[in-house]
Amino acid sequence: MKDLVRHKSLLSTEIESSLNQQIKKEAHSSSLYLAMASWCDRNGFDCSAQYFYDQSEEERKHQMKLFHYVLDMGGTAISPDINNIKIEYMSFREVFEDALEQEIAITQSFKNIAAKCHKEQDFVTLEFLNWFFKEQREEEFKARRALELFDLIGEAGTGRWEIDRHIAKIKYSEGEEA
Amino acid sequence: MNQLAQITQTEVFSTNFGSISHCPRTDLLTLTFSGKTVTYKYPCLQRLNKVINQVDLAKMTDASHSGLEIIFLCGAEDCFVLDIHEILGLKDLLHGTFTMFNLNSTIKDCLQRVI
Repeated sequence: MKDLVRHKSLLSTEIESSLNQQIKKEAHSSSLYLAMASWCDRNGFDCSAQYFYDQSEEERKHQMKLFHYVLDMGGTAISPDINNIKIEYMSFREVFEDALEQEIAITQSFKNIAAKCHKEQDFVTLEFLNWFFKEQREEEFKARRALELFDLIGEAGTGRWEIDRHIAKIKYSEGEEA
Repeated sequence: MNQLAQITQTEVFSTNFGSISHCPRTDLLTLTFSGKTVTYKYPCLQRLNKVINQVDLAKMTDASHSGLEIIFLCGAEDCFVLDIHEILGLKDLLHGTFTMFNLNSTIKDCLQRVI
């Protein structure tokens, strides 16, 4: 008998399911960042709003990269259903605390998929995931740096306005010398 | 003609409840179960397996439940109306079939692909 499992798809059922869960998490992240952009926009933090609009776009691109990979490898990519997005925040700082938490959760999730790939010897998917690990280095750095600005500048007086201006300048240079 | 088509089918797995066979020419899978014969593509059979595994058997035993489940797949013409025994039977049949598919894949890996 033909090897229908392998002919149909490079991905095992478990890896395909994990990647579909990751697609949902990226979509959730994108929606979450859009809600954060909305909150910042409404509260006059224009640079932070733009930062989160860009982050939302970025997460959407990650979602689509995973989506196309699943399809290209013969799997079934599932368009996720996203709801329960938080829209109100207690403070400017809380927005960035949530953003860092979100990035950490995404990194952990990719690590779990990579562990499954190792177990199944799915080196093709593992190689594909390397791109995301590199991205997560940047994403976590940016989220951590944004929070650091709150401590460095302080929120008193015009502090929040100053933090907002500096958010737009956050760049990750991968250890290159300035 | 039908007899010829029958001959070319390879049985993948069978139980007392039914059987699943594969046509090497078209790669279609024929499920014979509960007095019905339905032909699926491989991804469709995977979806059927997923749907069957998601049936809440405990809920089916509730007095308020009709005791029947309608198994319908998007894109497929046929549907199954099954009681709890038939659900368990189909679950067994599909589980055995996918075990055979995976076993076949592993054997091919060992005998033909690994240098």
